[in-house]
Amino acid sequence: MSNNPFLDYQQQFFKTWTDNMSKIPGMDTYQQMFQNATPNLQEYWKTFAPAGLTNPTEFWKNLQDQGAEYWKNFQSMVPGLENFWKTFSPMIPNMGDFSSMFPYKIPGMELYTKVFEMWKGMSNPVTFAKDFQEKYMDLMQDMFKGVLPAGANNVIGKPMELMDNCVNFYKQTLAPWMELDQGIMSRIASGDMSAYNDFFKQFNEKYDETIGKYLNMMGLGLNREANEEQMQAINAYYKAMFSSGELASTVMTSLGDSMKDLVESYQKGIAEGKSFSTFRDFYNLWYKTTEDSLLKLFSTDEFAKVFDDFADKYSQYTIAMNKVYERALSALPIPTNTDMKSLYKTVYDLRKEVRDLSRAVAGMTAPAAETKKEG
Amino acid sequence: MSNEMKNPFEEGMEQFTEFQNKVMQTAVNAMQQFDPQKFSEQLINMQDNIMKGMDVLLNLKPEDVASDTLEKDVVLTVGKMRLFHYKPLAPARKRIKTPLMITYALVNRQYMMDLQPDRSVIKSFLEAGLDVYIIDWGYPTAEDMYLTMDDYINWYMDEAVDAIRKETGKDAINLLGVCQGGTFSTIYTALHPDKIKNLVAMVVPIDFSGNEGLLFRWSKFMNIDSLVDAFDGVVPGDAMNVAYLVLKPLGNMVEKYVGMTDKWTDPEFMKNFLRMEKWVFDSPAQVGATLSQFTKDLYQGNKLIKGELELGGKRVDLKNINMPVLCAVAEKDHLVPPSASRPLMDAISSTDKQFMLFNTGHIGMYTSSKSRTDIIPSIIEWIKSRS
Repeated sequence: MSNNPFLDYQQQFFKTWTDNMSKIPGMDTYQQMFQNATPNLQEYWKTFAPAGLTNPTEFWKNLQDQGAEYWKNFQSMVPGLENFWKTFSPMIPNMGDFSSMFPYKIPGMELYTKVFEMWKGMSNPVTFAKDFQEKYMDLMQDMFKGVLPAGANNVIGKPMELMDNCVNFYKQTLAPWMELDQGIMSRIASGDMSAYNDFFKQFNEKYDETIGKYLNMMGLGLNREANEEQMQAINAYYKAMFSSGELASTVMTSLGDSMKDLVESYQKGIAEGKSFSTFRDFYNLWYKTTEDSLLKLFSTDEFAKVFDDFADKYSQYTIAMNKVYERALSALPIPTNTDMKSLYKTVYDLRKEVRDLSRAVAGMTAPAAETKKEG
Repeated sequence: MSNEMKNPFEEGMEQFTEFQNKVMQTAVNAMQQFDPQKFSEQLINMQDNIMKGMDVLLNLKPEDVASDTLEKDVVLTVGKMRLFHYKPLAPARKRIKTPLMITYALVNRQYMMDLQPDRSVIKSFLEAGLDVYIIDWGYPTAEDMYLTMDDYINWYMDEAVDAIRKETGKDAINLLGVCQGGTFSTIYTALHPDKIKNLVAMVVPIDFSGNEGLLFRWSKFMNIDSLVDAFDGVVPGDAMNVAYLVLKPLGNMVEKYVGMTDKWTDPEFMKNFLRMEKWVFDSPAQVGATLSQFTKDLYQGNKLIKGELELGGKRVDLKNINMPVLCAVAEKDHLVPPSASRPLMDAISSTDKQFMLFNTGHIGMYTSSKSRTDIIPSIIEWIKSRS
């Protein structure tokens, strides 16, 4: 590290760049597989590599070293730069955060590279089966995380985690109020994905009869309305959380099936004489199988109901919370949403009144103008 | 052990083992098929491609990817709506006297019709001599939350039509509606048939009873009022974008970009890709009152085709549509399947009516090469022969 932050950042930038280059989809795996699959590795590399380099690892290492050297030289070439940077850098927020310096991302590419991860270790068929399944579900777990907008990510970004949170929340907090079938809980504990669907179905049935009833009780006393609103907001939160869990479990169950479809499709393709010799071939197969599986799920009324229930429950929660916020803010000298909506309604009504009057005036003046013209 | 003797656990284990075997077999197959040379070439090409693609992106400027570039004047403003009139491109002797007004959907921006300079629908219209006006609905904000379908159709659209009639001295104009704008145009024509000479409805949802499109299926169970209330009367464009993305989750969020990197070393490809990217996510917020009415009366109640829709106290009777009508739809449309448009043909009383089916998708109607060579020329010909 030099005492010049700018140059340090540049060195870091170059190092990260070259590190990332070496991690370009499957580069490390490629090397590993390459060694396993190609006995005459050295000869092969010589054919492709730049002159003088004996193996791929050396190539990337050299590139990195040369980069660091370049920035060192650059520092001595521009003597005034250090002082300039000392003055300038505090004016730029978060400059120390490398990702904020280079935030450019291609959507979906992270997922694309993760597909490749599934095929790592295929040189060992014995361990591959277990790894493949774990990595597939890991991929599915993260599938929506990187690609959905931030708001939606918060809700269903980690479906497995969300489902487990719901189950744990039930066990730790709600269980004394409403007893669910222990068989379902045992199946969840044993990793049976379909048990989650049963869990959420039964939860919805029992919730309204027990804790839901309590949270919708009428309040008493001076703060009756405020208390009711708060209880209803808590009720809406539970319902929203469990509805998102139900959506997640519906999607994850379907994706669990799509893993089997993927393996079946691969075997079928092989039997039909298709070739899957590159990463892109594998990716295409994964993409098509998974998308087909999702679209098949989406095209059912059952999914539409779960999806719409999820949207509704989150809307109800937002509405309930907005009421609580608005009551809390009502003592302050600021207009609330209710005040603004009233104002917008007045403006809307006035605009329509002006329109009607303009049309009436136009109707009165048009015949007059025609009469004048004729006269 | 016979099948009858197996308990569920044993059966499950057997299935699991069978699946494990298939995965192991897959690994063996994959190893046999693996082509190291092809694979390494692919990785080297990928790196090369990434560097070149980034270089293309680094050198593109906003002005390189501009859309909506044809010259036009604002001739009317009502609230946030603006009516534009395009400057003619054809010589005076070739111009069609009956003006054409285009009404786009509320959910996206109208400049889809002038997205790429080399494939601009508007430019094709102007070069063919059409006198083109277009409605830009603008970006609604909270103050617009009470606007209803009646307001959009019988107020905003009607003032636009009247302004054009006044400016051109024509009693009736040609009306072209796209998607939801097509539904609005059809409703408008049914309510004001004397002001419309020819109606062109492109990728228009009219019969909402089907479930072919996911939007149709999902909207059936939607509690739209709670959604509108949650967003305080105006649903943000991004909320709509999420819904559209999820219709083809991997296709729209992963494959689109993976596919892009195959071609992104071509600056012309990237210019068009970026134009489309901007347009796709340039979604105005939706006015709650209208979104709610559209969902409940049309997606859920299917009132238009049933003859039960009422606007401003008047029933919308599609039989009032008696002028020439062209209904142009896309065979591969996942947003508005042809089955949602076709019933229009039987619901109207026009004798001069035509249904055109094109082998493309919803957006392909305006941006594909087929659009330029086949779709738009057919529409121009249809309009010109009746204007």
